[in-house]
Amino acid sequence: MVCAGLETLVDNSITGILAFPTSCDYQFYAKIMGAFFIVLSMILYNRDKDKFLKSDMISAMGVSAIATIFVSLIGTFIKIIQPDIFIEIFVIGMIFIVIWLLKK
Amino acid sequence: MAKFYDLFVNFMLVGLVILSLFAFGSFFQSDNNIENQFMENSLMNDTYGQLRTDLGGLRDKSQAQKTLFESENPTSGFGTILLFSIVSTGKVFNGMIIGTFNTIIKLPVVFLGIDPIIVSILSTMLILTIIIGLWVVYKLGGG
Repeated sequence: MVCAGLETLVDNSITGILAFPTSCDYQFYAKIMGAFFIVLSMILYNRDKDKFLKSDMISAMGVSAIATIFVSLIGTFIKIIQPDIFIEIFVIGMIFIVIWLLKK
Repeated sequence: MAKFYDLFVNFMLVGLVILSLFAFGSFFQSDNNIENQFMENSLMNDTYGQLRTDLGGLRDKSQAQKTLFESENPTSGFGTILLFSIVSTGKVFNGMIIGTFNTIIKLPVVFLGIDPIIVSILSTMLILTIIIGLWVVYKLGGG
């Protein structure tokens, strides 16, 4: 995939710079949120493992899903995440939350 | 063994959490005047409305069942006490579990394109769990 260089950047504000990658890859922030979700899940899982000697991956993923949804919501506020991308993130996050709550 | 009470409480909690997420997202976006809000999507809006209806009617339905339960005169059976209002209670509350499930499952089916076979299997597992759980409630008066 060949993307336009930074010389084509028109909007020099913070939000403009943050939104620039979506001009090349529409799903850019969906992937970023996916990475955020995985990293946060791993951090929570390992923290619990160190703290309680017993850890639950599903719980860590459920909590991370809520955090990811909130971060994505802030992303829609600064216009770097489009509504359809937010809906995808919301629905995927919802699945993890449902699994987490039903597992209890 | 399937426990109907636990299943019901878990499903209501799931509904409440999802409803809270919907409400928070919706209020956050409308308060900040965000263009193209996610609640403008008809399915998201319908799901939110349906969840509100499902959970909002919970109090009235449970109150009606409580009244029915209180009005019944228990009769003695073979080594037990017979209360037929528990059957009505089971019917009403299992409908609420299925309703919440059907409301929530629509979103992944439409937006993520989940295969209907998966939904069918999940529905079957849920229905079977409900039937067994209700049978335990009817038979033993608890789970």
